[in-house]
Amino acid sequence: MAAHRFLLLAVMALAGCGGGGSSSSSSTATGWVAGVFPPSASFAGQCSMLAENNYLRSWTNENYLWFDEVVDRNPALSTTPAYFDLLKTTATTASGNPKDRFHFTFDTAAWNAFSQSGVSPGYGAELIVVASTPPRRIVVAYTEPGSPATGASLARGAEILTVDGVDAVNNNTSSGVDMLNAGLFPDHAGETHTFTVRDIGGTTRTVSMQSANVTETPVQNVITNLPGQVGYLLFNDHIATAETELVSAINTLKAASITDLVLDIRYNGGGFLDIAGELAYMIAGSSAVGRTFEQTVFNSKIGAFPPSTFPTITLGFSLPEGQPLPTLNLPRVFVLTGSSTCSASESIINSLRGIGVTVIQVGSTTCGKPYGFFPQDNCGTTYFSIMFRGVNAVGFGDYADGFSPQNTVGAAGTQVPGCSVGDDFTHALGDPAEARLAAALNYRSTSTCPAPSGFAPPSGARTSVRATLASPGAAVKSRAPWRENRLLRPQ
Amino acid sequence: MAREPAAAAAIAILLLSACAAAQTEVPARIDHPTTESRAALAKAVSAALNAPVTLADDALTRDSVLIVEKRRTDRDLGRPERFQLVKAGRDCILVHEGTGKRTPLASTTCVPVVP
Repeated sequence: MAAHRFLLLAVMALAGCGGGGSSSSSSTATGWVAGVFPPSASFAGQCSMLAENNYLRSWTNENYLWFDEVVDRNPALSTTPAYFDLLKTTATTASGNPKDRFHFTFDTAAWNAFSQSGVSPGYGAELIVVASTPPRRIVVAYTEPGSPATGASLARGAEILTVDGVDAVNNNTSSGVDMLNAGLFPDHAGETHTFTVRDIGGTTRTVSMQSANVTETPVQNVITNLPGQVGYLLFNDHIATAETELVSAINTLKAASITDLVLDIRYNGGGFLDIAGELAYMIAGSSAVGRTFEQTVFNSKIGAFPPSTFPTITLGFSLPEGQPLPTLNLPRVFVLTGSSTCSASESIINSLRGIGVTVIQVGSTTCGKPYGFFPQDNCGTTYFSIMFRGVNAVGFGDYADGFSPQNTVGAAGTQVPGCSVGDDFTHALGDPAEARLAAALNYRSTSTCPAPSGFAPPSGARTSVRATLASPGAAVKSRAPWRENRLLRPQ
Repeated sequence: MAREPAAAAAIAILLLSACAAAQTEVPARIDHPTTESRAALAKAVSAALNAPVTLADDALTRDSVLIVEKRRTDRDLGRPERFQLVKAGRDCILVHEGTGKRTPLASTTCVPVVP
């Protein structure tokens, strides 16, 4: 682990300062020579358009995962935002989607801000946009305990009809959408907004909520007594406090001697990768000891980290470092997924499959992000450009189209045994009658599925991260930039 | 020459005092958070990290450890920042585990955390 961290620092330093250039051109050079890349460090911190473009061009050549698929263009001919947009591969996946859907920027001052683990301004309601264009449909997926949302008795399945008097279903004007965004996604604690909501039973009511710095509870609804000694665990975010909550949950499930686990990660967009490793180990137990959890692979100029094995002890996120992790020692796991299931969450699936644990997937196709980046700051902008991908113990990491239950209709990703089932907002998460959980329990008993109803993005529909935000089934959260940018736009 | 034993004794007393003080330093939590104490905590964390920070109103009121994260990527290979609150005499001191930086918190009262 220590060697891994050293290599991580070395790679970050390399990414930050440049290196590996093939020319000694001066930092003031303005002439563009195709195929010749001065070190990015020679342009860093110089904030003319040309210098910043040259920085990005060289940095991309040094660090971008698919640097050899980027067309080399004259940096003098585009604005910096336009030039950055061109510094990526244009290749497509097997299903016709862009290979790189994760290429974007963020304001550095905002990116570098810190927050207490799991704390962010809002109401504590996780919103899902089932339909992003009018007639829009915005639904509460779950709420955080003790939040303004629970105080207003908002619960899963409630639909947002108006925000501060603006029709959330039909309004498609710029000013209206701005008001929707401002009300749904407050930037600060202490903002009061008024909503018309329709609860599950059909009752329509008006609620006012004041935003607060809500503390997220990343692990909820731990259930030990589903039929057949099956346990259930809702895991929503790979934040530091999840380490404590996951260990507690696994101890509870272990004490109940469960024989199968349903892991609900339908709304989990990822986070700390080592948290994923800890959970995967706690599920698999002895079969994972000493095995590769994931190997981080960079471009051919940088190479790869040594394979990272499944952690068997706590890693010090929120528990003291070095405590043995509890284990369930299960040979298989049922995972409930959706299009928000992304990145580190997908690593749980991929890493367990890599060591022979049977993963049965129930839900919709996952987002398809086996990639990651070390964000790069330059001239007040933080650039996100893919630097690495993760592969499992058998070297597999090609799931850019996501993981799909095997009976998925339409363009599917990497097929996994299980059932395509749409989200069911009419039942609580963890309710055995909720469609995805019910299908998992039924599949466990009968190896059969209901008629497929999960969402699979049509071929070519995944044009960018920001377009994904507006996809049906996308979760709305305010934690990551690809979620933080406003979901609702005039269509 | 005669002064040397006295000086040595004084140094020994000082060291013992310091040792005793160190021994009484215990993990603590904030017991009566106020607007001022919250501001002092946020200021100390922000200064340690050289960046703005958002904290919950009940930060450090339940246990002695505060975990702070920069915005994470969705496949983040890093670690969060950790702080611990300790009580030393009447002082409530915030310790940044990564650097060891100690910041006494103004306008803050704290009590030892019972294990």
